[in-house]
Amino acid sequence: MPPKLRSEPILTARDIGKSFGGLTAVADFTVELMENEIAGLIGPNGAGKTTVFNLLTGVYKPDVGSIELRGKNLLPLSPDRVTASGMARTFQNIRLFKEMTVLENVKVGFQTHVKSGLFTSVIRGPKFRSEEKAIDAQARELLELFGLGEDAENPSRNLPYGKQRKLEIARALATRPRVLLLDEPAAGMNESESAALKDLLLQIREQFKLSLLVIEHHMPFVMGLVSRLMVLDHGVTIAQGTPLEIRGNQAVIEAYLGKDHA
Amino acid sequence: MGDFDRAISFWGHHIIMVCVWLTLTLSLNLINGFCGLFSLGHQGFWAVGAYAAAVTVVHFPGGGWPALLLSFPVAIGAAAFFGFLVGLPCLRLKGDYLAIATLGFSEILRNLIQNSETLGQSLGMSFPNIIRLSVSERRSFYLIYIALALIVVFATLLILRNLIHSAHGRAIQAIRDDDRVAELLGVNLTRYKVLVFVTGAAFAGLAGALFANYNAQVTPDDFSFNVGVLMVVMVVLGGMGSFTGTIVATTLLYFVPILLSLWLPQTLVPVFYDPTQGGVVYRELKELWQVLFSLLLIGVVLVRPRGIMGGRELRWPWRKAVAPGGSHGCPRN
Repeated sequence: MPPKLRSEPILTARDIGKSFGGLTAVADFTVELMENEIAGLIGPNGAGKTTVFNLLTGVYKPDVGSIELRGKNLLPLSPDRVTASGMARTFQNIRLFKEMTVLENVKVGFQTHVKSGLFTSVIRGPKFRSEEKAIDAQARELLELFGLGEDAENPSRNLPYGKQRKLEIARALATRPRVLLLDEPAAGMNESESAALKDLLLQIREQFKLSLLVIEHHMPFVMGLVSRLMVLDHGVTIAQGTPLEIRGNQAVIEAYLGKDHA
Repeated sequence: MGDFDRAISFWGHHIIMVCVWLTLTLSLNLINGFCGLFSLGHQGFWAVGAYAAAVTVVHFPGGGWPALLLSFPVAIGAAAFFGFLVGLPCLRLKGDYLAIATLGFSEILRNLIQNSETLGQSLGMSFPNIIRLSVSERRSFYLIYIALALIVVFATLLILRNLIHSAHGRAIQAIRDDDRVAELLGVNLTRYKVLVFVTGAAFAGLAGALFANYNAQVTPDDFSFNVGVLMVVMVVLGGMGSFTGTIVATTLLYFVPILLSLWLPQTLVPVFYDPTQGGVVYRELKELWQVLFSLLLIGVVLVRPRGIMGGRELRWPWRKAVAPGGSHGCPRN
């Protein structure tokens, strides 16, 4: 069932590092994400996982290192250009556009693909109308896929928590990414919900030809999803390997539980 | 002067002026309400438009109708250019800081005008009213100008509404809700923030030309800080991100003081007690309209803290709620 991994890396970050003042948030972080791969990023609170996401998506510029997406250097690009190059993300603390409807949230994701200029939009030309229609149809399709079809016209802030998380993923998919970064997608979900989410993620990987990098603490969720795990602690990558290897890794156990318990 | 002439110069004046205000507040709502950039400098763009129109009418060789027709695009262009000048350096500012920067801009501008001999310093510029001079009757002038003012307001409303109900409008509203996330979904923040400032300023410039050509006189005092504050009050009271709310609030706030001063009866009311003035002090009720006005404002804000309309729009009852492809602010309360 899992597709054969092609050996080509789609996202390559080499030795990236970032300090804030004197504090090193991330040091010498390296990742090669293969096409169609799902990799995981774990680590205790404050390990620098979200900072890695912010570095990859251009929110912060790394002090050192290089980032390439499909052979394209991402370092000089602003976040919106990074997204246009094919990388999208979700957020640990859900950040929907609260005053907009569920449908509009997803439509914003199509921004990089909009071709109607200002003038065409203001005079509502035929090109504008057909494009809006297409965006509407595609956005609704995405919502259906995530079981949000019924909620399309509701304000996004009225959604229950689990659906808000799903909407974030749907919105990110609207940018038509090749690489999707998910920041704790299963946070706050119960066992059955997170199992369903896992299946959904495996499904969208096939459907949209995605590679995923997932931050998640929930071990049963991670174990069944990812082929490879990286463990961060205090900004340093302390271990890498298959989920099974990581489970028995002494350094990882120490990072999570402290030396006395290891 | 007949009754009709008297009525039309009184009400005609107010209809034209409320159209000027509507053009201003609708475009300010694009900046403050839809994009969430809190600008206190809209009167500055208005002034640029009004003075640009005045200069065109006065100095365009030959004057007359060509000068009048030219004054509108010149006013729009000049104000849009200033919108670009202000928008670009203000990109990194948010909230209070942006408000102070835009207020600073408009006050600097007013001081520059006040000290410019070309622009007539504090006395401003007076020039011939081209439309008034080309018609024999006063009522014809008012009817023509009311039509022009209404066309301006409808064009403004239509263009801004279509802009908001497009992919560009969604990007603008996404910036209001969370600019960082909008950027990570592919919205070019620089492009859209500058676009919003330039578009908003351009319509303020249009309002400037409409005002200058009607009044045939512009002075720095027309564009004071108080005027800017009143515009913001109108937008906030109507509901940030609601065009119909802006229309309701602007019309209301414009006409309430006028109607109060017209309709309040001639009577003295006790205001306060001051022994040095011989006990209870009385005032004419008409002089107290500002107090009633303030009470009205407080009342509305208490009952509807997100403005009269919130983020909603009024719709014709016979029309379906969502226009095809339309993106709409959702109800907020």
